[in-house]
Amino acid sequence: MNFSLFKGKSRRTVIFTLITLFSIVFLLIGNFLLTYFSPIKSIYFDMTSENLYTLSDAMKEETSFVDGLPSGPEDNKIKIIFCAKPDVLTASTVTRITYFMALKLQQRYSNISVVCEDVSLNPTAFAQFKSNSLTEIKADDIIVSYGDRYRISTASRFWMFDEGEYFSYNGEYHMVAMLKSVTAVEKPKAYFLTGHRETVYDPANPESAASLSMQSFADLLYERGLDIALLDLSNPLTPEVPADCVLLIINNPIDDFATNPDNYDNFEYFSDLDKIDKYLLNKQGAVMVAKDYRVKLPVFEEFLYEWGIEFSSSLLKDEGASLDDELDSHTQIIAEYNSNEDNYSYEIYGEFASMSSAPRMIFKDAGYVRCTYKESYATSEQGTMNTSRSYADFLYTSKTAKPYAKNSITGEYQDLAGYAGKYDLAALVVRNNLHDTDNVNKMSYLFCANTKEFFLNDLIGNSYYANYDVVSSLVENISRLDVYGSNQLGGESLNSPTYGGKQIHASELSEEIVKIYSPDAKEVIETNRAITSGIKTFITVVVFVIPVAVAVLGIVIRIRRKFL
Amino acid sequence: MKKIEKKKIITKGRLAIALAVAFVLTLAAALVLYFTVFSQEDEPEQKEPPVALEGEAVVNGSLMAYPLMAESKIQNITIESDKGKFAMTRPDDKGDFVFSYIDGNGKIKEFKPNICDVDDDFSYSDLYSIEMGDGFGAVTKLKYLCMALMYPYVEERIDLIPEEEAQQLDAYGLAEGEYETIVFHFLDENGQQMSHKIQIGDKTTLETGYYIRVDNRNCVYASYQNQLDYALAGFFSLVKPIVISPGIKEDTVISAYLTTNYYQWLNAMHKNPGDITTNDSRVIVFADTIVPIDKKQSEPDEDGYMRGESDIEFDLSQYKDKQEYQRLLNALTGKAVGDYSENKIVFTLEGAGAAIEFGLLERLEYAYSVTEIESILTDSGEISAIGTAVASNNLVKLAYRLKIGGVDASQNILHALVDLSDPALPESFVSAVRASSVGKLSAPISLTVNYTKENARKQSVKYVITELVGVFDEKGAEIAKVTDNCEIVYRFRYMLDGVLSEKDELVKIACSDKGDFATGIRNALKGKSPSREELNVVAYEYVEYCEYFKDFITYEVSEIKYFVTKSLVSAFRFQNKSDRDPFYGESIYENTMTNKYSMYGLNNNVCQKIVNILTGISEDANSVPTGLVGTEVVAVGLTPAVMERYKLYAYTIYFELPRGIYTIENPDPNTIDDYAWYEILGFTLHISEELEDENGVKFRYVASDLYDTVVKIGAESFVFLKYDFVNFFARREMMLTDVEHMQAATFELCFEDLKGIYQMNLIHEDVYWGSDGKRYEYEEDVPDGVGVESTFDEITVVVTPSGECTPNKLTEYVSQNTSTGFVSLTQLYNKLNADGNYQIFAAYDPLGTSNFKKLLENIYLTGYSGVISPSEQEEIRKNNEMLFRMSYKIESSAHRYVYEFYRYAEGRVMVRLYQADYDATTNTYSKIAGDVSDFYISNFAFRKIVSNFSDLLNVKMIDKEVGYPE
Repeated sequence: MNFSLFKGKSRRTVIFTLITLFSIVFLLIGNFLLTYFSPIKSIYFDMTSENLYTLSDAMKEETSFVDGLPSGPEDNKIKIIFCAKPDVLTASTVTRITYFMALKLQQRYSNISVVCEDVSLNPTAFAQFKSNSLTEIKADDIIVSYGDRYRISTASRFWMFDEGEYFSYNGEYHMVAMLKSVTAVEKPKAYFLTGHRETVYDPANPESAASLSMQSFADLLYERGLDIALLDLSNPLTPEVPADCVLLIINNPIDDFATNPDNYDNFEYFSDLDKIDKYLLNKQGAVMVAKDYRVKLPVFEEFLYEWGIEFSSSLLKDEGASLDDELDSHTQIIAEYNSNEDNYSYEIYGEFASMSSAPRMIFKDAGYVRCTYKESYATSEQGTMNTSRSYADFLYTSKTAKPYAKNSITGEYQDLAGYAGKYDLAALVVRNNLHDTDNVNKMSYLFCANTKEFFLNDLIGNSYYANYDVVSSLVENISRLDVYGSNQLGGESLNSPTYGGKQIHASELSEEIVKIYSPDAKEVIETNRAITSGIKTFITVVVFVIPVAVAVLGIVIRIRRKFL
Repeated sequence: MKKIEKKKIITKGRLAIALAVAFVLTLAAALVLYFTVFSQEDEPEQKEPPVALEGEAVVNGSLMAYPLMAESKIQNITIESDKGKFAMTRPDDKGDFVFSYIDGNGKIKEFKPNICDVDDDFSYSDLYSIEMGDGFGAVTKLKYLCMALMYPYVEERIDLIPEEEAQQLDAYGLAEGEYETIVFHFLDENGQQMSHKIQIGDKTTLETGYYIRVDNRNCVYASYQNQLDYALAGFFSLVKPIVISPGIKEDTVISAYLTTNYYQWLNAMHKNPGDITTNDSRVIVFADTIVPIDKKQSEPDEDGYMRGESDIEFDLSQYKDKQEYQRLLNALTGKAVGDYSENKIVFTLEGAGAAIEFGLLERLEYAYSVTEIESILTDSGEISAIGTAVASNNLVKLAYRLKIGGVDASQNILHALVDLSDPALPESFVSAVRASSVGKLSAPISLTVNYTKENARKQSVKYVITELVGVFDEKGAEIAKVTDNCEIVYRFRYMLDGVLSEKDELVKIACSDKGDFATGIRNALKGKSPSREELNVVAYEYVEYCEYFKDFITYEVSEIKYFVTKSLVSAFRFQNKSDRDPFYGESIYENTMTNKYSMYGLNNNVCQKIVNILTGISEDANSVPTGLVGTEVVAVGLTPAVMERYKLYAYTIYFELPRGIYTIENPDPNTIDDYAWYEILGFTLHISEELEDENGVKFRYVASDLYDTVVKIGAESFVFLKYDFVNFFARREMMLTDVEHMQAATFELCFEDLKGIYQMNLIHEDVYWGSDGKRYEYEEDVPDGVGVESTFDEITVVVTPSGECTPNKLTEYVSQNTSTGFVSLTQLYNKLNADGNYQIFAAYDPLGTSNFKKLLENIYLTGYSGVISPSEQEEIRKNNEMLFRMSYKIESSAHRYVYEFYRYAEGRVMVRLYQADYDATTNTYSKIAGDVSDFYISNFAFRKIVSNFSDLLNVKMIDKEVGYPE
């Protein structure tokens, strides 16, 4: 090989030239490798005074349960999924710190893997995380999944705000809650309650008439990652609702929940309804009820009344918003969505409510429900100010609906009952327990529809209607198991020494504005932090000024050597 | 075949001609338009000044039907329209017009409602209706009417042609019987009273006014005064539709949500023949009222009686406990609705004896000459059958003639009631009367009495000052005590023969008032300070001297038309902070129900909203009360006929409006100031059911006794009338007591698997927490330089278990560690959580007390879920076992409040509440007041209370969020 470049050059010049070339190549390769491996192997130096990029000891302890999870193929791992590429994630402090925390967790636990997938480029990769066909996954969403269970949270939820400004990072607490939530129950189940001649889907007998009539709903539950089982609470061997129950379905009970009054003076005795109550209160349970308006169940209805929902015994007809049928019955009612963005219902199906021509949600042969709280749609729970129960009108009729009461002589439903107006077709009562030390909300849900048709194939299985999507969203939202991280991680408690996570010290959190507080949080002061203006200047000098200076010096030397 | 099109050719010449023609036509059109339309406007309008004929005037170039006058010169206005006849009169140029109207009996009646007399701040002009549609909202309709009369501008005079007059008048709506009339009197420039009569016909063509005729002149005027509408709208439109008075300026300083008393009744009307009256009903009768004429009446009278037939209402509940009305009660109680014209119900009410005016005389001779025994009054009725012997009956109605000092007192026959049991009457007179019979005297009966101050019947009257409201110096500044020349504001009542009158009256004596009366009052109160405590100081007393013969009033009832019964729905009053009952310590409204519901606390929000509505304050707002005003007056005069027509017997409300409210400042800045007031106005409102007008708008009729009006008010104002006490007024929290008032409590578990009686005594002790975070038992122990951060009521809860107790940590500890059989929760929690080595505090409370407080807080925050029907309550008490009982003793009360819990359904537990004396040795309760069980709580709430209590016994940290322990 004839290197004309070195022709006539001294040996020393050749050697230095080669060294220079190799150095450049080495730097380029090194830079490339560092860029490639640093996110994967988390090769970073945490220069923040709050140790934002470092897992705290409490975090390590709280997440240690991950090691105990059954290991298996890649599919069985806990996935922390970011919906954008790493360069986007690292560009924003809001996502960057959580992203690096996830990488640290991945590095620490073989059972955790971090996935970055740009949702805008590959939306189908997120199909399994959509509770309905309109669910939107956004680029700043963070998904934690394990098997069929998943939780989605937006990146800003990993932060605490004070007057609209980022105040502290409690991402560790939030991440632990998500990890625990998806792994709390190994195989979460939806139970169909039995014992009161309910219509149930029996997985052991899927060919039974009842099972066949609910096949679509069963498919929906499976799709939402839930196993299906039956539950007879009157069985003495079932002292309570099983721990793996994330959804209890009471569909079309015919017999009441009455128990022997002889047990009333036995404090330790728990009736079926006591067990359901306990499940709702202590386990942050979720119960879905579909009851036939024709069937009077005083004891069960009394229980639901206490929770905030009263069932009518009238049939609703809506001449203004119903499907045509041969009998012109007006009983196939087109429900209206609740478009109030503050309502729990909107939280669940807001995608539908906000559409200009939303798909139709149909109720068939239904009565109405209404709130039993006296003066408002929310009430404090007995004996406490920390827990409230809120009634959300989940779906309702148009203003033209009218209740038809049963004529006790003819048995027909006649226009005897009352005024035309909006009537609630289904309602969701949300119990919100604001824990007084953690300051976190623990939710329980009771959903009720006054029709026995609610879960049947005719509605859920009809792809022309929105029933499948709406019920799917409902199931997905209420069957989540809320598990919370330790206060050691900060939580959101004011009693926490860190006031909910890692309190931000510096005023500049890259592009975000963050206040700096004195230790007693009473005055704003300036402190050092990782990427301050000084650091930026220093980096600029190192990265830009020095190479330029060297280059200029080289050029000067070269010119001088050549011409002088 | 190919179609050949004809070429259109426009030559230059043709084009020029067309353009020229178009130009000419346009120019012509413009000229025509100019001359026909625009040019006319430029012509100056030649307007003839109007010429005033006799009686007319021209003002500002405009014709007036009569000369302009000042409003102050108008003395009287009478209006006669198809809406009735009414008038407005005023005594002088400064006074307000006073309305008169034709009442239901066709008589002219002055409209002077009671509010004129009872409210010191009332001005008659407050009754005038305000025009709200003029954009000002401040000018009265009467003012606009006066302006129409003061400025009688007319647009045109139309002379009447004699031969066509009838047709002309008919065309203008002024034919006989078609017009409305206004007659008003005024004073002219010379002070002479003059009058004008205005006949009002149809509206003018453009509806800018009316065709009118003035003083029967031979012309018709086209008036452009639409303000004559105010005359035609009728009397009611000029009266303000107010039923409760507005506040006064002093009330602006506070949130006016006070009422000294509020009562609400639900009424039932009974009008079916055969319905039987009760002794607490309002009975509406058609009766003849017979009253003896006054002996001073100079006009001769045929029989000496005044009579009048009308519908009369007797509210029997008012008379129930009054002996003097017993005959009225007997006559009207237990009677069937129906016609009594054939056998009238007659009863007589006794009046006072006529006062004897001695003047300077020491004695006065009264010579009575009885002419007839008219009837005998017995408890069961009045006997007027001729020949009925008086015999042993005491009350006799007789006719007589009278001479005073030898001179005929009256030329007419007089009538009186004589009580023969009166020892002052001479025996001879009594014997003579007893020997007589109705319609027949045994012999001429006469009685001569030389009345002296000794032998005359005496009636003692005391002036009792019940409250000293305020004392002020000459500059109006408040001073501490009554002095010789201060201003005093006080309340008083008369005491007549030992009986206090029913209502307080408020009086002010000014500093400048140095008369005997004022001086006497000051002397009686000298040195006293304003206080809300009842004073009952007798400021002075006097004796009235009366005849032995008494006045009376007799009713002859020919029909009981209907009667109305009432049931009390709610009763409450605002109570100052210092007045509040410790058991309902938080409740700003005191329940004043007299039935079993008096045991329940009241829903403050409900009470406050009602008070706000009645005083005219928008809901939840704090502002000056504007009074309760409706949309229109529909009637005046609350006669039974009006009450029935407007269905006003449905509901009744009595509402006391305190006025002149001021604060009584409390020196402790942490304590709420109390309120006092100078005046109380008591309004009784009669309210109809909800009605609907032709537009579907719902409303109610509301009548006010003080305003004497019936007004229409939007139904939404009175939504609360739909509800009963337990479903609406009763407070839903089970307990309101603050632990700082609690002295003892007992909890009793009666389950099959959870038993025991636990008596708790609460020992309260003030301790001091220093700023160094340490607890000091005595204030002097707090080191210098360490301030007292909090003085704290530290409670030690001493528990004594008894009876068969299900084992728990407490019973275990008591049995092992004490010989006394009791232990404090503080000791127990310290022992079991720190082995007794150190004190554990939760905030300032010892841990045991803190958990006890949590238990109470749970109970405090437990609300009633629903209402149980009376029959169900009975059934539950009979058939269900009590599962849990708790009782509390509150400071200042000798008794205990007892709560008993009965589970009667899957999710419901009945709560029974009563007051009782408690015997701790036997654990027995002797019920002394109340016994209510209208509410239930949820089984969940009940379980939580019991669980929390069980946790306390097991020295656990109570979690109020958990109803079902794991």
